[in-house]
Amino acid sequence: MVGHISDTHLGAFVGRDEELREVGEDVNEAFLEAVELFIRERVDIVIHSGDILDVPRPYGDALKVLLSGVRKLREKGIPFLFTLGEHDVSPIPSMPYPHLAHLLGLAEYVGDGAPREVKGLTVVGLHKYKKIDREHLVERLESIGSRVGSLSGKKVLVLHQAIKEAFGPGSELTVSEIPRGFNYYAMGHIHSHFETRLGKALLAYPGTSHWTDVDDPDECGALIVDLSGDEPQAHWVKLESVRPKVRIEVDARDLEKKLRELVERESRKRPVLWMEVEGEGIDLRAVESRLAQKYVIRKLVLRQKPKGGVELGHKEELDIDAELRRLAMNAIGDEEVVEYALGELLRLLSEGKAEEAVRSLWEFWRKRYGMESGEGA
Amino acid sequence: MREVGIILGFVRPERIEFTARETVRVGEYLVANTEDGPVLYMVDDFQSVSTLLLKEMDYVTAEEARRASEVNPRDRMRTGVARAIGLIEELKRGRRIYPTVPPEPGDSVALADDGILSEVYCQSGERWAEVGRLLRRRNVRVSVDLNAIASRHLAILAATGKGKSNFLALLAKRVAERNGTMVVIDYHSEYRDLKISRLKEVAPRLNPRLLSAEELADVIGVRERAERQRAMLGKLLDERVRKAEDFWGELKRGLEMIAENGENAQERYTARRLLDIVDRALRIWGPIFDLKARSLIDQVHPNRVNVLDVSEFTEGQAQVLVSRLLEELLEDRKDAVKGYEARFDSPVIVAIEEAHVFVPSGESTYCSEIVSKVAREGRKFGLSLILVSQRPSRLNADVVSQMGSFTISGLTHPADQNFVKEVTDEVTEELGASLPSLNPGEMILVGSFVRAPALIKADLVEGKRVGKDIDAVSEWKKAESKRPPISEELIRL
Repeated sequence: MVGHISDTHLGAFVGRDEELREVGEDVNEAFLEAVELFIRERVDIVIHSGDILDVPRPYGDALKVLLSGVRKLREKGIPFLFTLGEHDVSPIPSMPYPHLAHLLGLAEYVGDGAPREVKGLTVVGLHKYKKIDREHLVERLESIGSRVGSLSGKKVLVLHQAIKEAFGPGSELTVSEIPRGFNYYAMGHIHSHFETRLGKALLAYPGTSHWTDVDDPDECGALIVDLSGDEPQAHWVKLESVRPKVRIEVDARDLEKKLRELVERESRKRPVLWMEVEGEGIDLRAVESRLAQKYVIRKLVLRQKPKGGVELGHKEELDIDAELRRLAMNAIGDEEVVEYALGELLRLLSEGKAEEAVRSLWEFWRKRYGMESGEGA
Repeated sequence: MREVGIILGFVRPERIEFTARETVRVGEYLVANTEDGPVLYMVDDFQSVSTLLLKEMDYVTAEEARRASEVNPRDRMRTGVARAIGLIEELKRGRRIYPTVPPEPGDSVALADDGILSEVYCQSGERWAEVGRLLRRRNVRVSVDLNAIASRHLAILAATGKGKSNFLALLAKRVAERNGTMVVIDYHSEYRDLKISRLKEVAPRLNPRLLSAEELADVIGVRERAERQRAMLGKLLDERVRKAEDFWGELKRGLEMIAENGENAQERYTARRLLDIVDRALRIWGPIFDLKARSLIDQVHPNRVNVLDVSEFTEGQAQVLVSRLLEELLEDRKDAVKGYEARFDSPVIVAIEEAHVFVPSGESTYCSEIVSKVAREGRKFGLSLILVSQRPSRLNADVVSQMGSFTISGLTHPADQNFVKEVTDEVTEELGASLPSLNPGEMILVGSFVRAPALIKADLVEGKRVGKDIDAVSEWKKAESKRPPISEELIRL
């Protein structure tokens, strides 16, 4: 039996999204819960398919959780085999933190493409290859594929990559590029649980052990894989430490009903809430105060409702002249002066007739204030 | 001047036959005197015949005939046909006047001097641009009249590998040297690396908001017959969608609405299909759309050689692009000529590679109409075309017949050869027959941009990667020694 876990993202939220710091603890707890599950289920080995940590330079807590988890397994005689995902590898060439577990003799790194025999199983893995290195990845896989015949026992391939057929164009690999001949393909990188058969073999993603994004699945877990038979059988187990999350889009008219429903809902832990209210005239602060006790509010926004046939742009043509007049009125506050300034004076000045403008200005002044030319100068 | 032959047979002012002591190559220049003055001729055809060796015969007889022929110079009949290019004195002044009287039979024909030829073919002055040398006279440089190209259009018709794009690049360079404006529709990303000082590389972008519904349908790949889809797109594309910040999102929302709430199954199905098409278009051609792109002429620059790389466009998209561009340019040039404010206040030359894609014969595309219009009216407004194609017979003949000048080389297909003969009266039967035997870079120039038809060897443009075939073997080799994988380098265990 193999315990298969992936994308644990230890240390998530801490220092990055402090509002959800308490969820970060659930992330760590979910990993330890999986460890307990594996011990309880008496698996022979545990495989971690990468993205062990959430960031390549984690805070100490994440490492403490990782090391305590693998130590527990070690004490029970269960080897912990792992590869690295992109979250584990820093952009500065260096030793990835999870490798500490290997150096301490608590775990074994299998991401280097070399086969390892553990308890009668042969495990081969590769660390994550970014899409830019796709060709190299394919080459490495071809080389692994050419050697698979010489390996003994049940064989497991560990990868941290997405498969195009299942997850679309961003993926690094197509199914046909995955070497045949293995019994179990222990995959990581994709956060949803996914299984497919390659002939008799099984290819499976356990999905993340705890969500780290609103788009991740609500329920997360790990896989217990039975390799004893001809065809491997996988059993997905939901992890209870996972923080519930709720995403709601609600029309302002139904808000009251929804709020009552939300407040009445009972959960083990305060769920994280993403909420969008569509409509107008809603006091979000009131909404927040009603929900705050029961929910960790991550997002609460009011969105304008698109009316049937939304009117975009200005109803009236913007009238520059009118706008100019308004501004001039604000500044001068005398209609006659504004009239003159924006009319004759502006015309003369913009035509470059400076002398005429000065004459005209005197004339205007004289008429308005009854001064004779030169008298007040 | 050295006599090379004697005029024979039926002599007409524009065409003479002659017999020669030695072989004279096709394309060679001859001079004969007429009452109007000395006339320049070009050899269109030349043949060498031995009566003794003319019939079919067995090998032994042929051996004997060969020996007999060798000792009997009368057996070798070398005759040629030459066509009048014009009176030399008039040619020097830039006019082509044919003689009104023929030379006399028995008159001698001589090789023309390089000096005379240079006076005819190599003009100096800003409007003249040197493009090569006479094929038969390497000492004589040939220049073409850029003004003629900028007003009367040019067609470059030649088989692949014969140097079409080299010639176009050469013109681009000459135009650039004169601060001219040129737009090259680069279908194969060939011109980007040209070493031209005023080259502007442009990655043209289509703004879907500015396209008509039909154009949009074409650029996102709605099939031509899919009338329901086209009609639905037309209905959805109202002002609101066009002005929406998230144009695609708004369009898709409209489609989703119909897909879910459409009145009948047909309508819902059509909307779903369109949604797929839009998604696919954005996935495959996303980069060619830009919601903020200004009009196309704002993307090209006056007094520069603009290379528009359309290699990532499909044919349909490129057609929409070209038609839009030409429409905008024509409008702009009209404004300029009328004295209104315009972006391009001096003439513009638009070069279209693979022209048969844009103005095919027998069918109309988006561009057919505007290209014809520019071909007809462009000269009035200083907007001209250079059409480049290796399959002239697939080009719309009406458009080609508007071309004032031609550069022709290496056409092997009889249909193409005939087409060329039809649209230009200056490529004669005889000269046409030599078309397939021209080597790369050897081209026939005819039309208003040369004083007289010329068979030239074009200069080679630096930094041109076309004309050269891809060196696949060394590129494969290069791929082998590629960079090490970054993903591995980052992990230090």
